[in-house]
Amino acid sequence: MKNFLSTHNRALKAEWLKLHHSGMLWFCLAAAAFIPAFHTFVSFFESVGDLSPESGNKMIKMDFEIFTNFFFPVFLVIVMVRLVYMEHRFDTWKLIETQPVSKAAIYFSKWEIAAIISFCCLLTLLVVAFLGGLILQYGRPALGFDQSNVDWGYALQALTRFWIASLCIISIQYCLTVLVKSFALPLSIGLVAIFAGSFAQALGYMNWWPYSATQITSDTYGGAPNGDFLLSHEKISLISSLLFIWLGYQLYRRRSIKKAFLSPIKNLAVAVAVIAVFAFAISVVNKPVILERYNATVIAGEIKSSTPVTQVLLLRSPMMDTILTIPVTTDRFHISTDKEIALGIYLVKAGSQVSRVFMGSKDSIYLSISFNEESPVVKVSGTRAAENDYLVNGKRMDMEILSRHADNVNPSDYADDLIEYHNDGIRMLETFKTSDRIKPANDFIRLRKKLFATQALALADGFYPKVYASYFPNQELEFPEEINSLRASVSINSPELISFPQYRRYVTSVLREKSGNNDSLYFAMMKDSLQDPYTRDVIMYEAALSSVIKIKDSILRNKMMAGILLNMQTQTAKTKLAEANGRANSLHSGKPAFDFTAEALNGKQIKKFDFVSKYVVVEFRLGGCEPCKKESIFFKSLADRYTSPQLAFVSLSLDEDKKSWHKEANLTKENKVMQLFSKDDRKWISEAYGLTKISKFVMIDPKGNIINPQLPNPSEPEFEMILQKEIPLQRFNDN
Amino acid sequence: MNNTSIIKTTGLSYHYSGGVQTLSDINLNVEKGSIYGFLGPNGSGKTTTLSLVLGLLKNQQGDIEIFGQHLHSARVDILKKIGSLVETPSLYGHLTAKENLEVYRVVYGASKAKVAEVLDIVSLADTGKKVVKKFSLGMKQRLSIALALLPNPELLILDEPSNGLDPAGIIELRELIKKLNKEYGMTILISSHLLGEVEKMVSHVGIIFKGKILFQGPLSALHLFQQKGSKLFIKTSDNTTAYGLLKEHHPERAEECLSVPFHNMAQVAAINRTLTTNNLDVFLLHPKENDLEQLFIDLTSAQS
Repeated sequence: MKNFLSTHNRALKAEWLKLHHSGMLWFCLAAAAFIPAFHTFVSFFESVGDLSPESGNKMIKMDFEIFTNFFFPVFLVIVMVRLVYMEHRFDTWKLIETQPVSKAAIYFSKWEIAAIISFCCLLTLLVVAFLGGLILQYGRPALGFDQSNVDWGYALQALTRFWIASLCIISIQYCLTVLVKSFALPLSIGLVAIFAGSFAQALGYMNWWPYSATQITSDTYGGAPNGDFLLSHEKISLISSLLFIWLGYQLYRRRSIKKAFLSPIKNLAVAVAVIAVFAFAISVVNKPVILERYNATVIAGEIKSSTPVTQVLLLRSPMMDTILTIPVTTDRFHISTDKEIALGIYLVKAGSQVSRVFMGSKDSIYLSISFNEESPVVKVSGTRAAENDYLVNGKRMDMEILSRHADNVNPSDYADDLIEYHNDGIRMLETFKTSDRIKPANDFIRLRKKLFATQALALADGFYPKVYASYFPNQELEFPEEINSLRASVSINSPELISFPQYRRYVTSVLREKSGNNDSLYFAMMKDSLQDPYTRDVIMYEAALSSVIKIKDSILRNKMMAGILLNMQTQTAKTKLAEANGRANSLHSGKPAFDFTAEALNGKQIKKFDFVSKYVVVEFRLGGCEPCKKESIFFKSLADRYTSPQLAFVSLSLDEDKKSWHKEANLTKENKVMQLFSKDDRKWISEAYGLTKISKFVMIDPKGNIINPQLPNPSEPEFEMILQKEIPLQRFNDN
Repeated sequence: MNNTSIIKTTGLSYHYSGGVQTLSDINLNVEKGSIYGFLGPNGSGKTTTLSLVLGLLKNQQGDIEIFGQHLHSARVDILKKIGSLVETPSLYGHLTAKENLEVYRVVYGASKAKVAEVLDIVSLADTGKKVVKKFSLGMKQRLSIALALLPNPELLILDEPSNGLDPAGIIELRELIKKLNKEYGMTILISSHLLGEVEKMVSHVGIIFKGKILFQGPLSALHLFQQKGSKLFIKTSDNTTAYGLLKEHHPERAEECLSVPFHNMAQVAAINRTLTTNNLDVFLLHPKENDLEQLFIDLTSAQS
C-alpha cells in the first residue's frame, strides 16, 4: 500500500504522457462533440424534438440520451481496448514492470486514465451542447435559448450518473483486454455484450447488465423517482467496478486465470470469498424495496408553471367531487390531513392540469408538476412512487384485445386466452420495480389482482356470452373450472375498487347481463345488489349518464331520471346527473349541421361538406381565451387517443386576427387536431351552432347531421363516454 | 552475505507451465563494479534468469538478493537503482524518442537534462519528431539503452544489447559500457550468445547452458582455465617412436598426430631437439591456445 501511494502519481503521469499522438484525446473529443454539433447544425433548419421552452436543458438532455444509449458504451470499449492493446502491441509491459512502481499503481493508473477519458467525453458533450444552444440563440431565436436557464446542478448530476454507469464497462473491458492479448477479440466481446444488453433492455430483462448501465441511466435521465442521487444499477456499476478491478489486477499480476484464481487452493478460496462479498453487496443493492406507510396523510409538491396556480385540488373520479383543497404559495404546496382517504385513484387538478395519482390515507405523496401548453409532466414520488410509476410506465397486458378475437372461439380456448392474459398481467405486476428498485406495496397488488380478475370476468361473463350465443345458438355456455375460481376471487361488491374504471365496467356488464338489457330491472338490480352506498351511487351515476346520452325521448328520460335521483344519496352525483339531463333536454340532434367555410394551416379552403363520410368533432374556440386553452389540451389528448380514418377532430378558430391564429396553431401543428380558421361571418356561425359560450364542442355524423350539438367539455368524463357511445371505434386502453 | 555482491541468487530454479525445467540451481554472483558477461547459447535460460532478477517473472524457488535486499520484499526500492533492457526493444511506436524517454522520466523522477544527456550518449539526439515505429532496429536498440541509462542506475542489466547493431555500433556500445563502468562505477550485467562480443570488456563471466551455470568467475580465472587447456600438436615421420620419446610430457594420441600439454616456447624447442636428435622428421609442431570461444564450445559440448 505504501508503495502504491508513493508511486501512483508518477505512474498516472506516465500513462497520461503515453496518450500523446495516440489520437485518443481527439477520438474522445470527436465522439463527444459529434451528436451535439450535429444536433445544433440540424436545428438551424429543422426543429429536432420539442425544444422550447427549457431549450437549454432539453438540448443537453436529448444529446446525453442519444449519445449514452449506444455510442457511449461502444466508445468506452474501444478506449479501453486501445489503451491496453498499446502495451501488448509494443510489448511494453516488461518495460513498465521493471520501473520502480508498484504493480497495483501500474494497473490502477491505466484504469484511471480510462475513467478520466470517460469523464472528459461526457463533459465535452455537455459543453458542446451548451455552446450549440448559444449559437442557435443567434441563428434561430424562435427556439428560445435566450430565455432558457440551464439547470447546471441537474446536468452535472446526470453527467456524474453517466460517468458512474460507465465505470463498470471500463473495468470489465480492462479485465478482458488484459486477459486476451488481441485487439479484435476483446473489442468484439464488448460490442456483442452491448448489443445483447440492448436487446435484453428492449424486452425488459437484465436491468443489472453492466454494458447496459449507461443506456438505463439514459432511460431514467430524470433520476430516481424517490430522489436518490444514484439509481441502483449505478450503485451496482460502482460495486462491480471494484470487483472487476480486483479480478483484473489478479489476472494482470499472475498472468493466467489458473494462477490468479484456481491454484494454489488459497487463491481459489480468496477469489470465492471476494466474489461472495461483492455478490452479497450487489444483491443487497438490487433487492427490491417496499415502502412503509407514513404516520400521517401528506400531499406536498411544487409547480413549475408560467401562469400562477393558486390551489391544487384532489378530486375523486368519476364524479370529480373535491376531496381536498390545497392552497399553493410561491409554487409550493403542502397539506397534512386527518381526513380518511380511501385507497384508490384520484385526480390532482392544478390550474388547467389534471393528472392521476394513486394514494390513500397514511401516504406521503410529493408531486412535481411542471406544465406548459404543450407537454405537462407530473412526477409522483413518496410512499406511492412505485404504484404511480406502474400506472404510467408499467408493462401491462391489454386484455381488451380479447374482445376483438372472440369470434367462433370455443369456451375452453377463450378461457385459456383469458387466463393466460390474466396470469401474465399478474406476473408483470408482481415483478414490477421502479428504476430505483421500489416495488408496489401489497395493498396495491391485491387491488390490481382483483382488477385483473374483473377485467377477465367482464369479458367472460359480460362480453363472450353474446358472441357465443350468435355462433352456438343452441348450446349452453360452459366455462372451464379456472373461470369459476376467478369468479370466487372478486365480487361486484368490492367498494375498494370503485376508483378503477375496470371495476365499474365489470359491475355494469354483470348487471346488464343479469337484467337482460331491461333498463328498469338494471337500475333496480343496482339498488338491490350493491351494498355500499357510495359504490352504488357511482355505478348508478355512470349508468344513468349513458342513459341520458342514449335516450332521445325527453319525457321518457326525465321520468327515468326522477326515479334514479330518488335512489341516490350522494349529493354531487345527484347534481351532476341533473345537469347532464338539463343539457340533454336542450339537445336538437339529428338535424343537418350548418355548412362552414374555413382555411387550413396550409392555406387550403375547407368546408364542412369536405368531411362527408367521417365523424367530426368540432371545437369552436377563440385565441387568448384561457378556458379554451384548458379544454383544448383535453381535446388534443382525446384526438391523440382516438385515431381513426373515420373520425376527425377539428378546431375551428373564430378569431378576428388570422396572424395570431396562425402563430398559435403552428405551435400545435403536430397535433392530431386539424386547425382551421373560420372564413364565415362570426355572427352567423354563432347563431347556426348556438354558441352561447366559448369554447363549444359539437359532434357531426358522416351524413353531416348533428349527433350532439352541445357536448360537455372534453375535461369532463362524460365527453369521452359520448364519444365511445356514438362512434363505433376501438376502445382506448385506459386504466 | 558478501558485501561486494550486487546480485546474488541462491538455488534459483524455474519452470514454465508445461513442467519443463528452464533453470535449475542458478547461483549468480555479480560483484560490485564488475562487468559481468552472462553467456550462453540461445535458449539456455539467460533471459529467464534476467527476468527473474528484474521481477518480471515470479520467483518459484530459491532466493534473489540485489543490493543486499531481497527482491520479493523490496522490489520497488531495488528497481529504482536498476536500468535494464530485456530482449527485444519495447518502446511506444507512436511516440518520438524523446517522448518515450519522457514517459519514464516522470516515473524515475529524473531531470529533463538527463533525457538530453542519454539521447546524446546513444546518438539519437537528432531524431526530432520522428516516431519510434519508423526507427531502424539499431536505433530502437540504442533508444532502449538510453531508457536503461535514464535513472542513472547503479546496476545496468543488458540482455543481448548488440542485437540489431552494426559492427560500428557494437564497438561503440562496448566503449560505452566500459566508460559507464569506469567513470560512473556502474555494475553491468550483460548477456550475450556471442563470446567474442563481450570478451573484450567483461571482468567476470558466467556461462549458462541448458539452465545450469557451467562456469562463473573472473575473466582471469577463465584465462587460467584456458591456459590449462592449451596443447602442442606434433606430427613426425614415426608417431609411435615419438610417443615413447615424449613420455615425460604425458602425450596423447590424436588421429595422425600427438598432443602434449603446452607450457611455454622453451618446451617446444626442447621437444623439437629430442625428436630430431632421435632421427625423426618433424612435420608439425604447433602450439594451439584454447581461446575462450573454443572453451565455450568445449564447455557446452561436453555437457550436451
